[in-house]
Amino acid sequence: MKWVALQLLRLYPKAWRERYGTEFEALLQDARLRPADLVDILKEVFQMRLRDVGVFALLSGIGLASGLSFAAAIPDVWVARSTVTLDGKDGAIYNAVSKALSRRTLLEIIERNNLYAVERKNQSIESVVEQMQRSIIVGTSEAGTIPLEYRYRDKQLGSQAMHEIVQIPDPDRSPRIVYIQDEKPWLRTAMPFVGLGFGVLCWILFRKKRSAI
Amino acid sequence: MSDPGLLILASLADGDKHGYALMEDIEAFAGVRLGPGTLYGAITRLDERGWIRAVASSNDRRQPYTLTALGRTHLQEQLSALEKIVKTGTRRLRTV
Repeated sequence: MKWVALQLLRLYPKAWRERYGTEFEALLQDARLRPADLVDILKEVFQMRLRDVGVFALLSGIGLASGLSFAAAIPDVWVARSTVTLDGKDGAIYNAVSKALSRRTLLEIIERNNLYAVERKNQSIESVVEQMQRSIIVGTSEAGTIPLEYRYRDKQLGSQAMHEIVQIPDPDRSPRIVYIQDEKPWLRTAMPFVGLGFGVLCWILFRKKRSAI
Repeated sequence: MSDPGLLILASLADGDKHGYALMEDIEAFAGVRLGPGTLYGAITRLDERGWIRAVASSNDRRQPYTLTALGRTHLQEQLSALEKIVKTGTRRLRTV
């Protein structure tokens, strides 16, 4: 009976054996063991292992859930790309683009397409227009063509806004709009893994702290 | 009353004891025999909570434990709560 009980000691977590193993072995040597004691030891081993698994599941679960929440909170951003093409000197093209991106023009586009609906409720119209201006990137002119990029959270509205912007210098032109999803998707994919990794790291630190007690 | 943690704290209230002595003492005063797994599981939890602590011993295999001030306070609180339950239960039994 004692021999079996001493073998069961091996089933305890290593950190526990390092701390309590010797004295537990002394108890097993001293006590008059009964068959029920073997079940009692197994029950305790199971509970101890289950606690470890439970803590692991809890911490990694919290980490994963946090990661998924952060991922869900990352807003969609679409990039609509097009070009402005005009016959003439670069200066004339830039002037035309500047006019297209003027406060008045953008304000009209915002209102016509109901862009930045949430922001318009909370912020002044000037700061909303500034936000739109910051979201438009004007590229370098090349052979009478200037590339433009507009970042917006709604693919269709962003595309429509870009369509209107590039038509301002040349209303007869039917521009080609290319839109792509912003480079953020990788961040959204990575977030749950980062959260899970953080949870596992917390579990490792928790185990180390527990074994140091 | 078979909470292993409380039984261990009550046993240590009159002096330091190692695992086997705890097992024997608890069986003698409470009529409960704690299995070795249950006993050391409870010792681990009490030790982690700071309610008991290991004390130096001449025998390096048998490890005696002592009640800490925190453990003593916890034991007093638990016993007061139990006393209240016993008194209430006894009084209600008399009135039935």
